[in-house]
Amino acid sequence: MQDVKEFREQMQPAILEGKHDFATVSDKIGDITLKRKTPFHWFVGFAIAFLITQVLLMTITYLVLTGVGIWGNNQPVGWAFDIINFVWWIGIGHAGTLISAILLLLNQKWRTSINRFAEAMTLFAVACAGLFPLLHTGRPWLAYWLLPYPNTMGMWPQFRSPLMWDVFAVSTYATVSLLFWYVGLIPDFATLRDRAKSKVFKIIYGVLSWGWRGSARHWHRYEIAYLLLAGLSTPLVLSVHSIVSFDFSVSQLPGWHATIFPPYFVAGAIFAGFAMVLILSIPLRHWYNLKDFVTMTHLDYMGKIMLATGLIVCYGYAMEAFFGWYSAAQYEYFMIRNRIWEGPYWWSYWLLILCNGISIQLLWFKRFRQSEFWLFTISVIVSIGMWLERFVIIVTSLHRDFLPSSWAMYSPTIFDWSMFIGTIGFFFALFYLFVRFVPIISIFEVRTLLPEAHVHGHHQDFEEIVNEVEIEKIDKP
Amino acid sequence: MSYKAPEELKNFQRIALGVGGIGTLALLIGGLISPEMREQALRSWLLGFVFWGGISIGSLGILLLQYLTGGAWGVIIRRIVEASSRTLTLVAVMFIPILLGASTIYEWTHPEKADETLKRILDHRAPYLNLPAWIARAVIYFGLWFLMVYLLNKWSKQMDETGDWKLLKKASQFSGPAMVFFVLLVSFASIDWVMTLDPHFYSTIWGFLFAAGWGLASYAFTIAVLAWLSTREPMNQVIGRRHFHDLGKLLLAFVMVWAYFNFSQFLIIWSGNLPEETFWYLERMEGGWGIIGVILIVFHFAFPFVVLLSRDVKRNARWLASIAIFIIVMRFVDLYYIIGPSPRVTLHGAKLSFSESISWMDFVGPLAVGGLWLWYFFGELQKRPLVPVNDPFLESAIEHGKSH
Repeated sequence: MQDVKEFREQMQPAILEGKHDFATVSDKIGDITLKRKTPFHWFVGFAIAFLITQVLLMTITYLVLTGVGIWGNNQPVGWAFDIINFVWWIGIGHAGTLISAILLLLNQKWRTSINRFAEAMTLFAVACAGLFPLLHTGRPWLAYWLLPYPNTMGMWPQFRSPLMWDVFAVSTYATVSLLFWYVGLIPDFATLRDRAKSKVFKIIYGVLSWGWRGSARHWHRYEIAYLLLAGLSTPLVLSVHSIVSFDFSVSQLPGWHATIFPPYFVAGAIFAGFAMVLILSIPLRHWYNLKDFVTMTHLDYMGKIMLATGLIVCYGYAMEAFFGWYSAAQYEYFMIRNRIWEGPYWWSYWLLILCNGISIQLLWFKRFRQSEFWLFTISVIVSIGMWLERFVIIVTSLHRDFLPSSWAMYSPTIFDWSMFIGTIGFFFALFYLFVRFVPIISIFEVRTLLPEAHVHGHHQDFEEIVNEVEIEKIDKP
Repeated sequence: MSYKAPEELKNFQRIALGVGGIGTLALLIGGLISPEMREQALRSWLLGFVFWGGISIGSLGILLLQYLTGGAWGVIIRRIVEASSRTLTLVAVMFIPILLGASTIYEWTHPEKADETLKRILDHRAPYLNLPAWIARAVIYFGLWFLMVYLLNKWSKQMDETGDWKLLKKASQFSGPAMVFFVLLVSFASIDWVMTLDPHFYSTIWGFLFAAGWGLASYAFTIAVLAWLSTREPMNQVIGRRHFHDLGKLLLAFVMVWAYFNFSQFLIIWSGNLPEETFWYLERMEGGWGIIGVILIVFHFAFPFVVLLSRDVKRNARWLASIAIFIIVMRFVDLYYIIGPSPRVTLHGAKLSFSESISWMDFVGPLAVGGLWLWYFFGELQKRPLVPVNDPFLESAIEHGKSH
């Protein structure tokens, strides 16, 4: 019979590999930013991403000079790539928030080595997402009209519209995510400040770390702030994408008006987000030799989360199809038939099922979850699938209006594509800069995973640490 | 240590059986008076069945969930949810009256009496919504749930006897795919048994509403039982404040998920304002039903939500159990709110007003089913040690509860 210890390890594998102590952790992560020569592939990657960003800038320039007519949107497909891409990007961000906030509150230790770059991913994805509705207004310099402020025009936003809720949801999301990310970075910036050799970097990281000295009082305040921010971020994981789903579901359009939408959208967001975290983490751990911190266990867990959320998404497809028929409502039933096999976009539906439904079934098997190649491939397929999902929901529901005389086909123009691909370039350009100038893994949090950090002989959660510091404060005033 | 259940459970069993027996008898007699009363008696039985059967089925879901996630909380509550899941045998027996009386309570079983609109809808749905198919599906639901309950309980017992830890791995691996089927079965069972009471209504989130509702009820029930056990030998040696803290956190999450699903359904239907769906809420926003709706918002969500935010409440077994029992009562109110206003077969699909539809049977029904259910549950709970004695994580799970 197996040794009980061995069995426990098998059931709960280690999330930190190799031999490390406080110093080697700081070295290994901090040196990427401070000491090591910037690798050649960084320049190549950044150059490509930066070039694609220029495509975005050119598209935006032409768009602003000409108007949204350069896009393929028409009647009745009044929403197309703009909102597809908006929802796609904003969904991707959700994994970062889930990892940083919910997994923290659930006391999941494995999050510590992936939360930093996942949160950065969130911020950059939200930045890309925000561009689309902003530019779809046609006059982005008047976008502040979306906000309720007293003005002489007698204008007031329509608070019953979920598009209005989006303005608040997304801006809150961006703000809280930024704060959470930055607060998490302060102790690490201080570490970089102390280790930097060049004066310029010393000053820059010094300013960024706000005079952090790591005193007990600093840590006490810090941990309370971090826990509060985690609490604030947690509802955002659900609320933001629920509100995005309301953009569609509170309408009366068949294919949009479904009560399953909020949870199904949230699951889809986390699904797409974890696919992107995997797409980023697999190359990162190779290029920067971080396999001790981002272990196969991490990848395995992420694969499992992808499988679980992907199955919820598939449940959504199943329920939509079943109730499309069950409803016995003329338009509902037409819509679902049209979407699945009778309409001209049937191929997009089946491609979607292939990407989001079939491909993830491989993740049931440990063999695939333990293979970087397969995880990466499936993640790319899922990213495409989640984009297709929004295409299917938006375009196939709109292109068959209630009256056949209003029917039309939709096809994207070159500017739809250049704008979308441009944001991908922009996203990666930002990510390359992040990798170069900011510690990509939380140094101080990984230190807490080390055995020497466990003076109490068991893993502590944040709440406990806060409590203890409080008790110490009372004991020794 | 033997981890044997306290002897007092035998007394509980006797009381429960008495209540269940008398209640069932009362329903039987009441049901003989008139066709209207027969329909009412069966509806009340259905209410009890959906409520208590939901705890059996929900407990199976939690059993699967804790095998999937791992963690101390799962080890500590495993024997309670296992016992609840084994009551499925009784629940299947208690389904027989509903099976036999389906045409007494489900309007869709009489398409020949339907008006033109409903006739068209029922004709369209006929391949799914016909009595033989409905019965066949019920057999499938129970069959697959039985299989899951049987296997998980068998492995758990084997682990007690042989100490073979590999069975834990087996159970965990089984729980993944089982969970997928479980959620699908819950969805379609709740559609078949509850949603079709109103033959017009449909909502795509219905399955999730019941997965969350049944999960919440069984989880709250488990906490209440655990809190009681923790005041007696042997579980007072096992359970610590930290366990209740963890359980309380998940209870809060369940409450929020329930509210989130319900709010989603309400907002989407209210905003869409389409006649084929919105009638469902319009009926439930009028008069007495409207008051129950407000009660649900305040006491099924807001109150437990605020109370469970407190760390002290979560760590105190007595307080946590009180709020858990309160939630169980609100689960009954919620199911009453869903089932109560639905149309009556004896009135050819017409609905009763709030005051007319209140019946003593709606209280006796859940008591009758509940008495029998609890009698069976306490019996099952005594059959095995109260913790999985050979679980390799038992020691660390107990240790976890003792930390602060």
